[in-house]
Amino acid sequence: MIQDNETRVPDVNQVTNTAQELNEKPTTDLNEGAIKAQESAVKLINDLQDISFGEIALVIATTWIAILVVRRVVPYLAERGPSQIRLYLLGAVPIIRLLLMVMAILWIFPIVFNVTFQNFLVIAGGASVAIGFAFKDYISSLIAGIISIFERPYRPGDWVEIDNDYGEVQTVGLRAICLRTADDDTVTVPHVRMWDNNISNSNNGSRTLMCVADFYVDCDQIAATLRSALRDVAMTSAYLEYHKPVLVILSQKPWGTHFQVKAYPFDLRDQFAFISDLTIRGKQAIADCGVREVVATYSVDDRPNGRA
Amino acid sequence: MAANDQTRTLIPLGTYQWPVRPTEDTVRRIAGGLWQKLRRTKSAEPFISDDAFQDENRKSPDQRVASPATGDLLREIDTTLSQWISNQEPASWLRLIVLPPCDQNNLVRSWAVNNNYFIAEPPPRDSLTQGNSIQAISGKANGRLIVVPQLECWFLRHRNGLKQVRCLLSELAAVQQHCVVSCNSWAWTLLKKAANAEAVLPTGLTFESFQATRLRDWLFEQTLKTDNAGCKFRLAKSGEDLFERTKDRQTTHPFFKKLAAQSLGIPWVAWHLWRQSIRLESLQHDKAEPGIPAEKTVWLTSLDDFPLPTSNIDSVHLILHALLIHGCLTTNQLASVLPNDNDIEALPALVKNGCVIHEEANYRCSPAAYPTIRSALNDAGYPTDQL
Repeated sequence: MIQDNETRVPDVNQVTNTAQELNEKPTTDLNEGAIKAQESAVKLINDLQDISFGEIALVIATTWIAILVVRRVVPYLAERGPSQIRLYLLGAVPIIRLLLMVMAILWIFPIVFNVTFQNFLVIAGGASVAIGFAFKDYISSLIAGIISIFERPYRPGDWVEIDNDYGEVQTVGLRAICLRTADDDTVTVPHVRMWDNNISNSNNGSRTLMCVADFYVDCDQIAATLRSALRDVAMTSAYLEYHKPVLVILSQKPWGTHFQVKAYPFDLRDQFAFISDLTIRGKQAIADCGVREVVATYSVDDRPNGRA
Repeated sequence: MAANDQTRTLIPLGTYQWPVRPTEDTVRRIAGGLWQKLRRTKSAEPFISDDAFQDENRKSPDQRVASPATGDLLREIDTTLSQWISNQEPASWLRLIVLPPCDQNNLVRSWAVNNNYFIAEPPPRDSLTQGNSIQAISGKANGRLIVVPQLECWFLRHRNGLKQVRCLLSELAAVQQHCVVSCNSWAWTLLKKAANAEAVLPTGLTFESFQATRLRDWLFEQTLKTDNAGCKFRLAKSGEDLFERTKDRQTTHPFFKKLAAQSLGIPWVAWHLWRQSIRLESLQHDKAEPGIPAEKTVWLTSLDDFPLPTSNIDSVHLILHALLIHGCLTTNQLASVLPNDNDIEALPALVKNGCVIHEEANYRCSPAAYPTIRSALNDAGYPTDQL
């Protein structure tokens, strides 16, 4: 206790010196701070000797490798794993890639740039001019790509129709998506189409989609019998998803009756096999009912590219 | 155990508890494949090597392990239905029993035969697509309880193959006497959708899954019924006696937990897996192994997964799914329910690797392969059964 009291007693000389320093320092510090702030505001990019190019290269290389691994491994696992998790895995690829890129940018940015509010305004202004004049469409696609990750108008594994191109979304890149059509064509569609085009998504992330088999029949009295027969055709298909409804829709056309058998396969990858199965066995059912199919001399179905 | 069996009854469909695989075993299975590829050194030698099991001495394991007695399950059906049968004015005249597939003993038919009930035989399968309607079954029963033992035999997954089962269901809907219908779980899943069978038949009943302890006791009873009295059943890997119990008689060997999980709690599947893992020692090894006393010993190897053919996998899945739904099919019947003509070409490969059994003219799924088949179909997205 005695020692504590002794330490608390200030030295008179020390107090005097400190008071003098306090009177002199503020002016000096303010000047230096203002100069430094001015310098740092003007200096947009760090000095070259301060930039660790090795670190930048390492971050870029690591991110690039990580993205490459994700883009290869996740689809590989998705195709070989249980079909229940296939679409979840495929859908995770663009999200993981976006996260990795954001992390890399956030890592590299302070290494290269002198991050201040003033510099942010300068960079934003400069970037706006550049984007406005030179990279408008590209940046628009990039932004649409980022939005598509959150809004999800399409995901890898979905079957979509954009501008009469119907196919499975193979990849969702930063700028564009790749569709693989039923004819095995690869179609690249920039995300910017999302702004002003309708995007028709057949499955919207689910494992199945509605398939329609069309029959044009000249039948008068036995429409109900034929409808039951076609319903059984769908009910006994090996590809049928049991938890979804089976519908047979009739509509009268000038050339006869249009039967549409609407049902769902348990796996959307089987959609064309399912439609073929329905069509083959549906034709047999129609023949067994003793009616004939109408053969049009012109195209009556304008659905594009083998749309299911 | 005996007391439990006396009071055990069938349970409503949807409450079946699938046995859980031990976590350690699950991790081992996942890591096992990878480890097999990466490892350079051999694993520890088993207690008794496979070389000791000579083919000439590997006589039919059926002599060691009898055909599975289903007495427990027959008793369960009796216990469950006795009160309903004795009731002359029941709330419902129908009872539905849904069993897992691959029931080669035809459990419900055995129960009907034992009790001298009227058995409604299915029409010949080849005539199912002809569309000839069946004769009324209730008129033939002479007041006896009607049993429809295998509803899966009443239809063919063909556009004309549902008529008979629909006729049967409409007749059952109007029946005014006790009637028990049994169906395998895969066929029931289809019939609910295609024939709206759920609207006619009440909620199904099934047996409780055979968990490790019950399975151990049941298999022990089976071994006592053969010439294996006093015979020891030991694991080839470690030499442990599988039926040995600790003094408190509470602990069951982990082997049975694995067996219960692998067999999905289905006794006939467990029995076939058990039978498949049995190895008999060669004559020159009849002398006692070091570490165990001189005794008659039956060795059991580990429970391996059943491999499915790797080529033409889509056709393989279609065939297996069709066989599970129908129980058994001839080649022509199978071809008629498959979507593509060339799907049938995968059948020989399935027979060759043991997934499908060829008996006389019929093909059926092997009970031992059923867990693998179910898992493969589930992974491929097929609609599976629900117990």
